Amino acid sequence: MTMALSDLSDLPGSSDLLTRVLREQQTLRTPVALFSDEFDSQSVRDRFTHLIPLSKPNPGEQYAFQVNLDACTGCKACVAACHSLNGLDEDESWRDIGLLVGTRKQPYLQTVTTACHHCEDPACSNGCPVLAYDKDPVTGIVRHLDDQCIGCSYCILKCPYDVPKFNLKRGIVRKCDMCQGRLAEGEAPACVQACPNEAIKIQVVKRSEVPDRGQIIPGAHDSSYTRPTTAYVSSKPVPETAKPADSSRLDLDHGHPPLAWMLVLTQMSAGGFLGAALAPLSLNEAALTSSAALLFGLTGIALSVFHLGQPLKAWRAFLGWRKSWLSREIITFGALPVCGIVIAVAWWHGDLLMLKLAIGGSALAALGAVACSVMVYADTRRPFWSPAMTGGKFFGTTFLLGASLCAVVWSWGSVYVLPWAMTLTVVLRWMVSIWELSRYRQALADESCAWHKSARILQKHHARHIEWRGVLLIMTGLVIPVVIAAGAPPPWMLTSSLLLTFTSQLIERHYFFTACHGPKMPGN
Amino acid sequence: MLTFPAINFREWSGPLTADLVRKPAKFGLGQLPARRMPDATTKAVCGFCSTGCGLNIHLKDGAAINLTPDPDYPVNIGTACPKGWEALSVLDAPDRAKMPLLHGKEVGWDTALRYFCDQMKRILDQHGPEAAAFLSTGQIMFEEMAFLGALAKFGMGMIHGDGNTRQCMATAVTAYKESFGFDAPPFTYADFEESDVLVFIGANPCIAHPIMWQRVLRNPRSPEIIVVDPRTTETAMAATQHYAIKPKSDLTLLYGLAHLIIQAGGVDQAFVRASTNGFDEFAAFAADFTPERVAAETGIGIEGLRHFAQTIMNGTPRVSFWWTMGVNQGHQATRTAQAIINLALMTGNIGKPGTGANSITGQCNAMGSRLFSNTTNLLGGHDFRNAAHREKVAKATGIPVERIPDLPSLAYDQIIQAADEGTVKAIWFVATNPSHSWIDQNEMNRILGKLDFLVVQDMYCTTETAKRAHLVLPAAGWGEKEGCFINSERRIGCSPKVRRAPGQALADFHIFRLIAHYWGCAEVFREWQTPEAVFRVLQRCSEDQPCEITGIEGYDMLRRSGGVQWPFRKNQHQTSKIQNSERRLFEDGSFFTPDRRAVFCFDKPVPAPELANDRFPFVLMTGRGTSAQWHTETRTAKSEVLRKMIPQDLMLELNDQDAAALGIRDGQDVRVISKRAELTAKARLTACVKPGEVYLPMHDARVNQLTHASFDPLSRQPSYKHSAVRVEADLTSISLQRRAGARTCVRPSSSQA
Repeated sequence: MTMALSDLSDLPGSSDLLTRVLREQQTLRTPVALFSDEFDSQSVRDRFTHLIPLSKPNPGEQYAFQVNLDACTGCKACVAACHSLNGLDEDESWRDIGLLVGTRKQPYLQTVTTACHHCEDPACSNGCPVLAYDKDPVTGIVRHLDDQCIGCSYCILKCPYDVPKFNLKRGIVRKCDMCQGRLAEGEAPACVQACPNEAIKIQVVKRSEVPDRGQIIPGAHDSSYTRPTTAYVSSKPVPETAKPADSSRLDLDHGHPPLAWMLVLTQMSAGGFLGAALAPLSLNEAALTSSAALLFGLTGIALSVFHLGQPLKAWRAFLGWRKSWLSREIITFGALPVCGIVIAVAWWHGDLLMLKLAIGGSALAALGAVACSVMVYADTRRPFWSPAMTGGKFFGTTFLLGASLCAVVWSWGSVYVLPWAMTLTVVLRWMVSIWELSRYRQALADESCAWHKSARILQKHHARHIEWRGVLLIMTGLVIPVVIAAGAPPPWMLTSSLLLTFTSQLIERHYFFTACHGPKMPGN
Repeated sequence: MLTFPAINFREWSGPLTADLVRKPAKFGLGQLPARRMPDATTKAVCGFCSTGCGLNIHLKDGAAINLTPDPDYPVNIGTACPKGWEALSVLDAPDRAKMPLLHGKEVGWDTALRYFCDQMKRILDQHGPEAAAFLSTGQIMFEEMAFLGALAKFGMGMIHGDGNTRQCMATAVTAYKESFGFDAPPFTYADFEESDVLVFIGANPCIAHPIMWQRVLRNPRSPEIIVVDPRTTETAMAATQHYAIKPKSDLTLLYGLAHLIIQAGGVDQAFVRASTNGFDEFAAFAADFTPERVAAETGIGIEGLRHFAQTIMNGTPRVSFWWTMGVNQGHQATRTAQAIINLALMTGNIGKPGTGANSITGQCNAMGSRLFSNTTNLLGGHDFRNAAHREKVAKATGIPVERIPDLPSLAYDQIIQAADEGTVKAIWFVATNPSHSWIDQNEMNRILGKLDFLVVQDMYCTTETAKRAHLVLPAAGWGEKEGCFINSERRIGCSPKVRRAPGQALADFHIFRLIAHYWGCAEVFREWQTPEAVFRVLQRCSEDQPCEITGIEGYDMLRRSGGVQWPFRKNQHQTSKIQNSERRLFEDGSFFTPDRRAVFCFDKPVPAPELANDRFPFVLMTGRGTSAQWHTETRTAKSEVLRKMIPQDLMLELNDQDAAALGIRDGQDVRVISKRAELTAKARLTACVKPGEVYLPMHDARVNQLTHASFDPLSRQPSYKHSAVRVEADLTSISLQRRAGARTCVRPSSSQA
């Protein structure tokens, strides 16, 4: 329907006007001088004095958020104000709003504003390997030291309220600091300033009186873990049926691929060392087996660096050893290269006893590292990562891949204990898988199971992966052994079996993270 | 960003820490991020909703870098909802329209304007003045609205033009006009704080107008807060009384309350006799609405009805009634609004502190549109059919009287119908997105496809409507241009230009100037050079009208005074009073009708046009989702922070019992099917909607494919609140679960449809 541009061609002044208008549009003539200095509104300091404490906390006290649920009616201004007044990134805010809904007969609707709870026993801080958290001794504010952070994200896994958030652009975590600089000057935090209904206040609480049981709000994690200081108050009791509006969501968590690789490789390494230590091997056989174990272990450790947002600062990772299992895991991993050197020296000397001792020590160190790995996750108190589940998976992987690795190395070297390793591999293959699968079926069927949600996430998002793992199980637990029995060359068959088993464990480790369903405050 | 470690064990400071450092700012702003330190500030009025909050814009080198709510503005007293906080960030979206688009291809303004004029002229010449129409908005400044209305009707010779205010405020306009003699919301926001009883009907201010709710919570009188809404909304939760009536039984309820109040002697006889007409007829009419009948039709028990009526009587004379879209978007919307007005009139709850029959407006400039858009009314609330009015406006504007048509415009739906019938061949949409927002959207889009010429003038080239346009004219947005808004309480506020528009986007005002030039009618608009010049023209138009604003000296006065409520006449120079007082109308009991008396208007309730039935057993209601969403989300979806605040999926609110009967569990995918279309949503099981009722937020573009197009016969406003739908579990998702061997399906314990 294009028509010729016609009769207007000789319109006088068009280009003049167009130029003028386009220029005018780009000119800012805000009458700044006229009135920007004209008003001097009541300063922020005076307007909110009734919402913040007048003096600093006494010893044994700290600052805490108090939220009046009656006044929190869902406007979400606090979220926007936190973002805006703190100069955060486009999608970043340290406050969030969730919704509690009632079901069955009782209509109920309650929006819940939430930020960092500045816990009395902050899990983020306890887990940090580099001491990048500081609980201010005077104010009790749990502050994150952005320049100390190595971006390992462990605090994200440790916090049961989903407070610290990874900032991809900067490779670190950032979180709410209760606008401590504002409070220090007698100004209210951004969220307190922004709430139209004055629902958010800062109060001083006695540290000893911060609740260590129950939940701060339905849907929140049990307070015994971190002793969160935020208090939600309401004139109307929250009904028992109330639950977070997003409670039926089955979302995937972050997959942390470098960690998945690291865990499987280091566990295979530990199993390899164990095999090398236990089997009656010759000097060269023992050296070869332990070298293979060492190689995979070091590869795993190297890969884990890709997990860090600030790897250059990772040298400080030992600092948190007093409380952080991650710090301890990293320290134990640090023993591996040392073990490698000792093993090499023993082999160079041709001293079988010394080599055996070195390998035995390495095996212990590596198993210790696996134990630390288990604790890293168990310490997050996430049901899917319970000590039993994580321990079973990690040590199961250790023994299974260890046996499998030994079988491969020994098959190429024609070691006479090979049949033992082969048998053990097959037995473990079935044991670990049957254990895992039965736990999964159980959790899926039992709604009261602590990790029922994770089981449903597995079912919803990973059904295909579980099927693939079933195929891999048949391949490695049945087909390959039968083929070997029928006379196929063991070295090649066993190597394939190791690769396939490794793949299977890697898949499991992927959904170990994605299906974890970390606890959080009520969402939308 | 990789950073190198310092040679110490703990780094308490460094570049990443410095990133978030806050420093004391000037201008009473307290601490602000050091990276965003303003060197000056200026004041603006927010461009989203009709609350009309004042914002302090932080400037650096003259351009806006941040904003905070204005503590000195009498409307919001230092707070804003998230949309206001994010008003600047949505200007930076990558899909801003930066150049005119002709059939999807970028062209220069000269080409675009020539094409526009050629097409419009051709269509108007060939098919007459009714063949082209404009449909505008409540979102642009009223100087721009007036320019558009005047340009289209007085310059280009169109007859028809309407605004998206038809979708939100037309009912209040029609109701007020008939009852009060002029479209005059009587209240001031201070009434929220001064009432003993606040009755909210079809309104959810906690979510839709959070800053007005702030004023409610500031009420020191421990008021009774009554909410009439089929759903248990956030506001209903915060209320002291909630009446969850059956959908669209509001008219019956209001008549029933009137009857109970009349029976109980709650009528302010002196006021009724002195200041109203038609009460006796109304009383006789209301007598049919016995508590038994009303209880049966509304689902509210007789005791509840009596308590409601008694609460109103106890609270008199400090009862205020507030309504929004639940009332305005109904099949008998005008009569429902008037039933609220009737309650206020008969109890004398009007013209006094804490009273009023008060329509809370929708868009930032809905009120400006009502007075000055030159669509239904001639500029300044005048009548196109009235020769004296045409003369007066001609004189005030300097436009030759023969250019002023003597016909009022068709309403929005009638223009669309005319387009379907082929009499309207070109439509020029300005700052509105009907391909998403119009009721029975598929039908709308089918009709838009028939147009010879579809022009969309918008900030974004990606709106559903812009994608269908033959020509897109890129517009500057709020903050990139200057002009005034009128908020719900009739307060005129001024908003400055604090940003440069992207590319060659131009203020709507500039676009109208250019079109006037290219059309060849610039001479007619020679005084219309700047928004403030148009403001003066409109002041002259308002003379001797109820909405007279001749006392406003100019933009400076508006900026200084925190806005001025109309009316404000030339001789009304009590400057100190404007600043501090909030003014309400009808304090002298005198209305704007010829005999200065308000009128009782009423009609029999009739059932909604589309009722639930065997095939479609649920009543679908639609409305606001969250405070972070605005209409079709052309702007709000551009802010990542606002997007964080909304549910990730479209949620269908469904009662537990219905869900149990249908075998649907929380969070499950469901199909929502109407006669017209179907969509997939996730079920949110809640007792906040009653059995047989479901609710969908309007912001998802698919929702209005379901809605049934019916209109209030008086206001022509679409009725978005009552469509029949069916809900089914989405079988594809269920079969997936079955296949995976689920044994976790919760079997419903009760089943009742």
